Amino acid sequence: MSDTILEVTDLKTQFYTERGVVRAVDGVSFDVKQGEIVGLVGESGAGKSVTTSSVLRLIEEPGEVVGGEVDYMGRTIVGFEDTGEELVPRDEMLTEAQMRDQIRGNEIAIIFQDPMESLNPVYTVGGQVKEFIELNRDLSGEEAKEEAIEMLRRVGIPEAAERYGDYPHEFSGGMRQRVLIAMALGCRPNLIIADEPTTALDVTVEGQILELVNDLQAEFGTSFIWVTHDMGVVAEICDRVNVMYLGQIVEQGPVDEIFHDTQHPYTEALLNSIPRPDRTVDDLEPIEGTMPSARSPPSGCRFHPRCPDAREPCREIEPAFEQVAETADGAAHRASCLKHEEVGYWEAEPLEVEVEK
Amino acid sequence: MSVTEALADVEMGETLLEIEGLTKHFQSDTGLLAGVFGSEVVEAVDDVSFEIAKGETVALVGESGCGKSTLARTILQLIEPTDGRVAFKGVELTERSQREIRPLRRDMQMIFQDPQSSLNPRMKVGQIIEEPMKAHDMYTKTERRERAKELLERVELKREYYNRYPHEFSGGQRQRINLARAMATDPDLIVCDEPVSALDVSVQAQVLNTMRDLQEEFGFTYLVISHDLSVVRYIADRVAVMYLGHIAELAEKEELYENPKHPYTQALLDAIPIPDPRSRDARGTLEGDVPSPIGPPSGCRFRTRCPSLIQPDELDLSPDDWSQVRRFTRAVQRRTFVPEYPDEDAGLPVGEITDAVDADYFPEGRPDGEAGDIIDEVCRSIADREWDDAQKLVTERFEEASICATERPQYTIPAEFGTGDHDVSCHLHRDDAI
Repeated sequence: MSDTILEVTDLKTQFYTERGVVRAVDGVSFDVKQGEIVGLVGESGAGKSVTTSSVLRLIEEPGEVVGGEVDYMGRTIVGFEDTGEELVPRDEMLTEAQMRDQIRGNEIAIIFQDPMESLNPVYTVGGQVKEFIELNRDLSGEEAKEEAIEMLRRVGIPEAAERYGDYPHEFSGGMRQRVLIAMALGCRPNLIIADEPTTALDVTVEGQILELVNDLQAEFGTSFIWVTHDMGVVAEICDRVNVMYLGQIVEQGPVDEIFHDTQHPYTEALLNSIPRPDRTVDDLEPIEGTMPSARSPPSGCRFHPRCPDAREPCREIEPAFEQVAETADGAAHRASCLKHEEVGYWEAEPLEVEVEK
Repeated sequence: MSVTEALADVEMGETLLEIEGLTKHFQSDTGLLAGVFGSEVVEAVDDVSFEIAKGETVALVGESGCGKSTLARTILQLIEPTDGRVAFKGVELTERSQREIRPLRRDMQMIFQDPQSSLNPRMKVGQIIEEPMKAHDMYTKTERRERAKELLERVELKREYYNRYPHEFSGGQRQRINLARAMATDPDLIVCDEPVSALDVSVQAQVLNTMRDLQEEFGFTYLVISHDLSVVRYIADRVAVMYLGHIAELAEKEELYENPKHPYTQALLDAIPIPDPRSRDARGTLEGDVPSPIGPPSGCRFRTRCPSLIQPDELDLSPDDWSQVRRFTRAVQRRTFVPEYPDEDAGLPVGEITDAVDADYFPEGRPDGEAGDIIDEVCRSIADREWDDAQKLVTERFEEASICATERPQYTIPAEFGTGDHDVSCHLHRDDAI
């Protein structure tokens, strides 16, 4: 359980647009251990999907990974060295061909939000699962087909053998998402990156998928990075959580600590702003304002213009991402907030928060 | 007498909108070939009745395809109902022509889910908000301008935004502009179709709070359509849960969430992930998909997925035996139970099938009597590779003979919380009905 399989250190990804450079991911560090589900949460524009795409090196023009390290079980997915003038990729960084043949699919698979976009409408569902398995595992055509049917059955497709020849449009949204999971699992990857896989689904279907993930994880020991904006889903399935805001991780820790020993005001505010299904809340406390553009992030702490706890130093000093609290099992609980630093936060005056709605 | 004169004065708490037996069936195909092959009927909304009092918020919740949006549009007469009646402030909308209803529309406004596409990008914010006032010939030009600016302030935007274009605003701000537009004609009823589901969580809360404040101030009545049970718990007074065109359950909010009686509502509430890792538990997940609204299940529409299907009277099984029979039924219907047939066409001796079935589904012994006979017959069909027969048999004898399939349930039971009634469309509660 405790072996680290993926380690991301100070990852930076930028997009070069006509209106300036967007620092979509700006110094993100986290890791994934064997067999755990790691959550990546945040609102739209936080940089969650860019982070996961960067990990798989799927960033395309005009974007580019410009710094940081991504290490997957001793192999360098992203690695740079400083020549004195600029950062250049190190020699041991995997080539594009190596990424394709050795990493994507068979070691790290990714499941996207929209299953209709990810399935080819002109090929049969079974055929696509089979092709995926053939490409990523040493199985002959007939074996691959059997494995494909078995995987479809495992993810709960009724009459799997009969429906093997159906086309994607003949499946409901929930079933298509199951097909993607079957595809990903069929390749027996070590790590699955699930990018909002249940967001477009109805709540009962989401329940089915989460149940399925729990079962499969117990059986195959697969690790997951679960990207979502839904704190309910996080609470339900994640072991550890990374909370992102404007291209950075602001808080990181075991799931229970994130919810019950919250250390960053943004996480706190996020939790206070969500309506609860399990109890009647009289007044929600919304987070004031909207997320600023990643093109020109606020100075100091990026959350300070919206932060209910902001004080004078928050405007100037960029908080460090550091261990802030003890956890029950010794896992790290980090947060980047000046409250936890010796920079005169507590002596300073609160900032007047003036935001536009 | 014109329609506007016929409008009754409705005080707070009195019935503003009355819906009775409202039904909307669509022809699935109206093309040329439909005439040749006949067309299928999509039963989007079927025999729905409820009332909304002035000043309250009623929510229609349900999963995609349950008919909640169709119901709302049919209520507003944006879609012509197939059957049933709708009365707004005492005026029978269903008996009036579109032309006659038109002046009433200033009292019934609507806001839509997608704040992106519901605002005309070529119009300035001010024009957008003035549009409904202009359409209903309200106020002078100067008054409209002043009112639009005032409305911007009411929804917590700035007066200066009057001259800006929609693209300059974020999703949450656009939804506020939508609200201002809906309020412009000072309506009684605002129908909100997924008002916050396109917004980020933190912005959702802002808009929901504004909606609530405005209701308190102006006494609006909201009919909110949503798939999000958490949002509904926050803003609604009463909640109607829809499933496949029927209302499964309707009760005051606290009653519905704390004392849900319909197995579908229970499954729905059970399925929502609770934002607290300490309340993780084994959730009963609902199996299968929502059936097609073309030829939907008879009786209770939820029965094909219901974990509490009532056994047919002639079976007389113990609850345990019945639940094993249900498990067996599902396995046969979904063909998850697949014996190893020797080759392409050959069947198997029936003994092998019965042994396997007994081991997997009836380890305590197969039930006797009627149920046992049916299971025997199913096993014979499976042995002969006649899967269609086997599926038909379990469906007809175990499911369609149930009261859940033969009668549509509609009961009202006493509520435990609050003061209102509790409507539940489930035969499990037939003995509690008042």
